[in-house]
Amino acid sequence: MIVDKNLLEMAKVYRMPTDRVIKYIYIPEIISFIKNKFSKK
Amino acid sequence: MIIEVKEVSKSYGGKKVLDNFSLNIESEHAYVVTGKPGCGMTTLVRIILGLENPDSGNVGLLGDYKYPYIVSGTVFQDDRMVQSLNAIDNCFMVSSKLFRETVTEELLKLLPEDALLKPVKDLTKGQRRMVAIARACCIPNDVLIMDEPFDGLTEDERNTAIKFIRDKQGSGPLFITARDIHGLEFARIIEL
Repeated sequence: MIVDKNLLEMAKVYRMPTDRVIKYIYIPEIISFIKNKFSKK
Repeated sequence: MIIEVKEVSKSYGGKKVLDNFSLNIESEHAYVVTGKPGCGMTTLVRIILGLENPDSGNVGLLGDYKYPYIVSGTVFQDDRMVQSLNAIDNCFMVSSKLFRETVTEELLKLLPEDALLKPVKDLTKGQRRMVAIARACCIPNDVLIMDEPFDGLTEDERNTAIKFIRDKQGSGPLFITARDIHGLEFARIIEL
């Protein structure tokens, strides 16, 4: 899984709205994942 | 509002980490749970937050309470931040009731200005801890629950953080786990 489950657990505890989970957790984590993948090649 | 922890027990792999633990966490009161590493402090926090179920016993809300759940300003044992985002965004993102200006003002009480706009991965461990503490205290909360919030802080940072948390506690309860309890004598100390 790309997104850290601990971050998703934090979002659950804070009752973060879904749109914010996507914008601030999923998108930055996916961008970091892609950057790391390309920088390793 | 009272969070009632009633006769909670929990075991992992045959080892009992919590044995019949009870505590009423009441508004306007502060509690510090202390003990040796592995004595069940984090497990207790996770059970109170509803992230784990106890083997026996339960956690409930007592008193006149209009919502089925509580909102907890939480500091986890690990920082749990989006590493590529800065301190302001890491705090601002958790609630739609927050303004960037308010978050910035609160963070400045704990961190120098130049630390606020860097990705949190470039901050020191102590600075990240400060961001986690600010995030917990910024959101409109019913209770503050903090698992080893002062871990990795210098003495000065620790004193600043304790003062900040006490200022922000408001009328809700404050629940902290800490192996080192100096400076926390204002709270009820519970040994696990």
